[in-house]
Amino acid sequence: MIEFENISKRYENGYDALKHVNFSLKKGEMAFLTGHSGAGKSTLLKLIALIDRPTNGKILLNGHNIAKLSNRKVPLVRRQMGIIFQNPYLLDDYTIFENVAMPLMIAGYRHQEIGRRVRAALAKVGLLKKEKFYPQSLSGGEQQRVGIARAVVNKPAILLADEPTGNLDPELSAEIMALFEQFNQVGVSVLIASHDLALITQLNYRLLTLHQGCMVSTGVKIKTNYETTVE
Amino acid sequence: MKRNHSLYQSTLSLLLKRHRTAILMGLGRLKKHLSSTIFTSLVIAMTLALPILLLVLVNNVDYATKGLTASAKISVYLKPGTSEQTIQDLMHELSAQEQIIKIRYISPEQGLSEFAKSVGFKQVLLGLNHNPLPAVLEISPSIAYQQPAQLQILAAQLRQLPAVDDVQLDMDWIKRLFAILSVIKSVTLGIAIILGFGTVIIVGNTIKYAIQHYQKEIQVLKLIGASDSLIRRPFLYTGVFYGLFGTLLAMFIVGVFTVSLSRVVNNLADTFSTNFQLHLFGFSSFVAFCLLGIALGLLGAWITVSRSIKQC
Repeated sequence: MIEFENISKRYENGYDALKHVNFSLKKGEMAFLTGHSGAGKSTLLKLIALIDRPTNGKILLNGHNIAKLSNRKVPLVRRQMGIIFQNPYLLDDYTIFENVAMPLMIAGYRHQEIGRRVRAALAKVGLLKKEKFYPQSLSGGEQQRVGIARAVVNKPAILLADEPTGNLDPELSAEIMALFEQFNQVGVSVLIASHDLALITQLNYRLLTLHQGCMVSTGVKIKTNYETTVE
Repeated sequence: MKRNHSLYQSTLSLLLKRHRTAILMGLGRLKKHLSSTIFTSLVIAMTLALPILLLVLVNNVDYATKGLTASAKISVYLKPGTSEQTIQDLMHELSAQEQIIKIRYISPEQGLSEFAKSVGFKQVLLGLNHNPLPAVLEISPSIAYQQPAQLQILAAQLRQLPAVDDVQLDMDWIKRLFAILSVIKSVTLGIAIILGFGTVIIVGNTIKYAIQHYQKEIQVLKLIGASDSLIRRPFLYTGVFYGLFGTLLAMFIVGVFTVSLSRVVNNLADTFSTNFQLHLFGFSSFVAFCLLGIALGLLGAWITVSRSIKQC
């Protein structure tokens, strides 16, 4: 599904955020991307979402190199992905329903279909009753769930999440992770950047570990307490 | 359920649907930020009102000068003792000329009685033992021959006629007025043009501030896969609406101003014995102003949004 071939990213100020990174995420796979802050997790996700472009290397999405895709085609790639940030980036002027409906409106869905899908997505994250509310009247955990609903409403093949539980307490974090697992179970590829090792090591998924811009491990996590085995 | 995979599909129904959505989104934003909408429209209205008002004034100067020349008349004083037959022949001859539209013959007796009536010198006139007034032909030039220069040529021709004693054409004040009016007209037009340029900048800037509220929205829309044109379109409509509301408001302001001014102007017109009335603008000008406002709004929005989209 996603494949990085020798990806490097150097920012304009000369900082090397990623150095010769190789990894792949299979279709329908769920994995965590971890490492200290500044290790390059966010940069890696931004490269997949085409928010940033790599300095070198290839990014294959379903076999197509998207590293040098023209700006005109970027929106088409983004519509195949659901992107979730630590800050859910909800629009305060719009209701929860409208916020979640936005990707569908952009893609040109019909009115009834939008209503059906938005309610399905909101039901999935447990916020169906709040569709007429505005984001500011929701708690932080609820806002994050709205962000997730918006990311999945389009039924994307890939979900990318950058520190989705960064602002949440452990209980809420576990709920959010459980949601991601549910999406993964229906075939969505999920890549979550998180430094919350206590949380993610409880879950049985592959850990991709970045250290100072290098991929130091693409290991498989075996569900033993807080231990990782490296391939 | 069909999903549109290509943004660049250009079937008519899809295009219409996109524009309908864009219009609704544009209007929705205006409604959501009502105070900002009102403020922006007001700024545009105030800025547009002045050049529009000046253009209306220039137009009115044109109307006014037309009315003034239409009232121009030439008085032809005939030599004393000219026979009635000669006068009839002369009138016949003159009315054949294309420069002259109407001739009114004022006999000495008629002149005397009019004079007595209008000036109140009845007692004085009764004391005279003969009528001192000559026969007069009051000539109205036709509309195509009312320019001051043309009137002077006509007056000179009339003066050549054997039966004519004197020709009076009160030209000086008309000439002077014309000169003053043409200066006023040029100055006003110049100011209107300068203000017009200023308006483009002010409208652009106002829309820029109005749209800056939406920086976050633009960012989010980009992240969830909206193309640049899709993001831009509702904002362009927002700009169009700002321009249209602003222009309508500006014309309303000008209208109120003109109506309140018209009484003063009518009094002034009375002193020139014309029944001139202030004209607002015709339907075609109304449409032209609206289109101008829309174009200004569109331009301002386009520049601002394109910059915003690039920044995200």
